[in-house]
Amino acid sequence: MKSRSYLFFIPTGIFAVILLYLVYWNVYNSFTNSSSFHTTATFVGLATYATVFRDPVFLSSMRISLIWAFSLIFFGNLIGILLAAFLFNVASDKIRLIFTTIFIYPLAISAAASAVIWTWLFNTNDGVNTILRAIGLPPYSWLDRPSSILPSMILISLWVYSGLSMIFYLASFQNVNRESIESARIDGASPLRVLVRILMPEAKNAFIVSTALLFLFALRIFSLPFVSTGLNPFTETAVLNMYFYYITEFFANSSVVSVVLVIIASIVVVPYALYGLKRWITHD
Amino acid sequence: MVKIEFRKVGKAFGKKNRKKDVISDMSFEVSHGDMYGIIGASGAGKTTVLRMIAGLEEPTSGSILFDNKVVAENGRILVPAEERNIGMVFQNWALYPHMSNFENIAFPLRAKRVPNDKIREKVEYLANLLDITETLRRRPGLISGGQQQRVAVCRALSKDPSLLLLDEPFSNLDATIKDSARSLVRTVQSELGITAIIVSHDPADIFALASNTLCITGGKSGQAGKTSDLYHAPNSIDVARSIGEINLLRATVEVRNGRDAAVLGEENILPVTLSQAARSSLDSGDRSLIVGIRPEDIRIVEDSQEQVDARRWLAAGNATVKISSYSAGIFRILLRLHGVETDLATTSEHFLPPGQEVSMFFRKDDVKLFDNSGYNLAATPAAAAVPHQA
Amino acid sequence: MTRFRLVSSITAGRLYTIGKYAVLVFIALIWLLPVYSMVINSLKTAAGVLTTPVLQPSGISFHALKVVAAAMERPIFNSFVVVLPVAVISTFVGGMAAYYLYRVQSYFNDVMFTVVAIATFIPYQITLVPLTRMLAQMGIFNTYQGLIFAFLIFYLPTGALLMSIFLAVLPKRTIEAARIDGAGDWLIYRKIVWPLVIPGSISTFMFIVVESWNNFFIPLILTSTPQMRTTSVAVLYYSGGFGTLYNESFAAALMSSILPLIIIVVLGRYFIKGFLALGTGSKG
Ligand SMILES: Nc1ncnc2c1ncn2[C@@H]1O[C@H](COP(=O)(O)OP(=O)(O)OP(=O)(O)O)[C@@H](O)[C@H]1O
Ligand SMILES: [Mg+2]
Repeated sequence: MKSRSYLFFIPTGIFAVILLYLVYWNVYNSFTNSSSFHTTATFVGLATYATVFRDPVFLSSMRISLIWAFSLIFFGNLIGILLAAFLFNVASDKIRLIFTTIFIYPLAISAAASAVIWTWLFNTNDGVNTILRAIGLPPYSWLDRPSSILPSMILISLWVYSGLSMIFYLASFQNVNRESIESARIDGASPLRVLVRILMPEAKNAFIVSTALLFLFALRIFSLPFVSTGLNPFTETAVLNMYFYYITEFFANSSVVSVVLVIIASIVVVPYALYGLKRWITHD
Repeated sequence: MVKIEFRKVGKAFGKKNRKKDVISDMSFEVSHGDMYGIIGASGAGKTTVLRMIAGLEEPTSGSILFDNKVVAENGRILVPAEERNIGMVFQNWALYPHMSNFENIAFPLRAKRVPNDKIREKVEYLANLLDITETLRRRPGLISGGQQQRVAVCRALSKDPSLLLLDEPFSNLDATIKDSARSLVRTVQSELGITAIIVSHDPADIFALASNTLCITGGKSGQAGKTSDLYHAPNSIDVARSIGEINLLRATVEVRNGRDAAVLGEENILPVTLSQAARSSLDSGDRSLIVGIRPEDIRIVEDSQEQVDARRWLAAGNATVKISSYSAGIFRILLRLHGVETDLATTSEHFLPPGQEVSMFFRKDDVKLFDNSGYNLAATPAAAAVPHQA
Repeated sequence: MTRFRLVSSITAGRLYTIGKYAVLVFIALIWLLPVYSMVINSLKTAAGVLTTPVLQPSGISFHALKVVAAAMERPIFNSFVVVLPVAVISTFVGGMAAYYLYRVQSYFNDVMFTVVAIATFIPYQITLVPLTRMLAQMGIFNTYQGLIFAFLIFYLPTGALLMSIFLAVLPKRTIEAARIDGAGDWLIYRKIVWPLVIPGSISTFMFIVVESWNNFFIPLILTSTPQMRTTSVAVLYYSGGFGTLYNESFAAALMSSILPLIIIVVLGRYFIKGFLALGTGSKG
């Protein structure tokens, strides 16, 4: 029977292989010159890679994606730690759950809907600027000026993903031995000191995990800029949109973009799967 | 009923670069209808052997046979666990927590697609036999440890297995119900007449149940045979220790009054007879050996006037009582010998005050002599040693 | 003197508590802005839209909701048709794969596990071209089957990954006992594994329902007619721009998020557990 249990993996295996095939297709295509001008593609080695890597629009979108990813990682972790620290100190489980739900719900709303909502909230005349004006602050250009699009997008993605970081930190704080926290409190340590000296050193895993996931989610951000600013590679937007931009004509170029993205993602996913997840699931 | 045979079985865990040999070169046989014991220290490899019998683990080398038919060999399982028709009682019973006790016991029958009325009949018969009828509708989490163990036994027996495996089945039970659990298993096994193998590190389980026993020492077959032979004539110190308590004392062999004698510490002299071969091996090297004596083979005499039958007892000199403790109608005594670091454990029918001087006698036929590597000098034919005839 | 100190330290503690909740509530309010604006704005009349900014309520009218509901009826139906089978299959069949990976450990399975993780985390958008071609070749482009098939490529591995994590808590002995009892894999999976991992499979199921409900990209590229659009895609057509009144945008956003919002409010724990499992392998 043991020899037949692989049957259980076959359906999932088939779909996983299909996925590998889709990735393989891109890898293959990236070595050709396939485009609307070359309908019969020929093998051109790394020539297409060279073209794409010299394309200033690609380079700028790459830069933007990285800025986006690192901002999300930096501020996402920061907000996550802050929120987790506050929630950790909430005495009632019920209230904690309510706040947790509030901070996590953006993850459950579709990025398309979020984009629609925030596009209106960031409307220069009718959106949050009305509040800013009311309390005497200068209005912000949000999505109106190319230079402010990226910061606005980063803010929206922080609204979406900070809660994710928060739950990992909260979970790791809750694993810290209660007694060591209480004894520190009795010794007169301030809550900030408890956070820095006792809680954070135990939160290494939360940091790794939230960083890895924020990075991976940042790479996949597509609908947010797509819905709110449209396909707009010449202003401020992310790498994935480049894939879209190339697709209409330069097929091989789009495959190059996808290969680059898969490689970047795999650098994070593979060690995470083999050393993180695998270890968590195999101890008996 | 089935006969089981291990032929030069080896088992290693881990991947190539970090391989760990757990069992090596192990051969033994369990005959039809036998109640067979496997004993050994913690980590010796008992569970691993049992799991190989069950088909949950494959032997890395060698072969395992059921009724002369190979079921696993050289890293391959030929007959998987679910087809070996085995009943097994796990150390923690591994009951299905989400099923009622009835369903737990019925599960092996459901796997065999036995009709419902037959299942009911069988479960009720077994539950009655083991006296758990009232608990059948509850879940395992809601009954006592002893009841859980009986549910586990019922589950193991419900499909009429040809082999029953028990891995430390009593270790999680209160001392007070251990004995009744043991006798229950014994009754059931002899009533059904199936081959059974019980693994335990507790000699009490083995003596209560097993007529033949394999003692595993460090992954090897230390000794296999009648349980009483393992106890009285152990091959090695490891075997002697696994199957019961034994006092071990370092001694040097010297010639006293023209005879060989083992000198224990400064004052205690025990006459011994060494075979020619043993003596010559001692002559060539250092003259030390290890004397093993079980607690019940030591007799304490307080009154120097008391007569002791010299045909059966050897005088072993004097000792001081270190402490007396009490258990089940018997006083347990620790004796201290002059110049000997290890204390000697024995028993007495009455209390002895600490500090009292006593004389000590060893039962002549049960003094064991081991060489420095721990092998019984009597058990190796080339170097047979028998205690001195007074 | 001592008494005075004591009193002042109590007030400091109380101030701290008040401050803590003030900050929490403030951040929570920012987080809730989109929900607030969805509710007030989808209830606005056309006149209200023209006279009030986005954050200011004005009257209650169900007109916009009714109009949008009529248009969204079909997409919501489509979403259910696609999402439910995807979530059920991903959980149950993914669970089977998880059971296999739990039972049999080998180098090959480490590789498969990594593939499963990659499928869960890569920017799936990059498979657009080969995926579209594949579906077209199979004749299921712009069909329910096509959408389900495409979703399964990504969510079946997600299901397998999550279920692997939840399965890891099963005691190996229990499964071995079942094998000794003569049960085959199928019986063990249905009668032992499945009942014991029900909380984990609810988490997996909820997680995949929410994620696939919100998936915007796959239905965007794999459907070509309005009849086949799913909810998240339909929202795009209310994203603003020419002549759209924002009450309809918000009504559409509300309609597409109502299911995930209900899930998160009622079954938030399970959803959070899904994310925690994905990140840290924590099963509790
Ligand atoms: N799956 C495994 N992988 C690696 N090593 C193992 C595995 N199972 C057992 N071992 C090792 O094999 C040795 C023997 O283990 P085993 O469980 O058979 O001992 P045991 O005699 O049953 O001990 P105990 O009395 O403690 O139950 C131990 O050192 C153990 O660490
Ligand atoms: Mg064991």
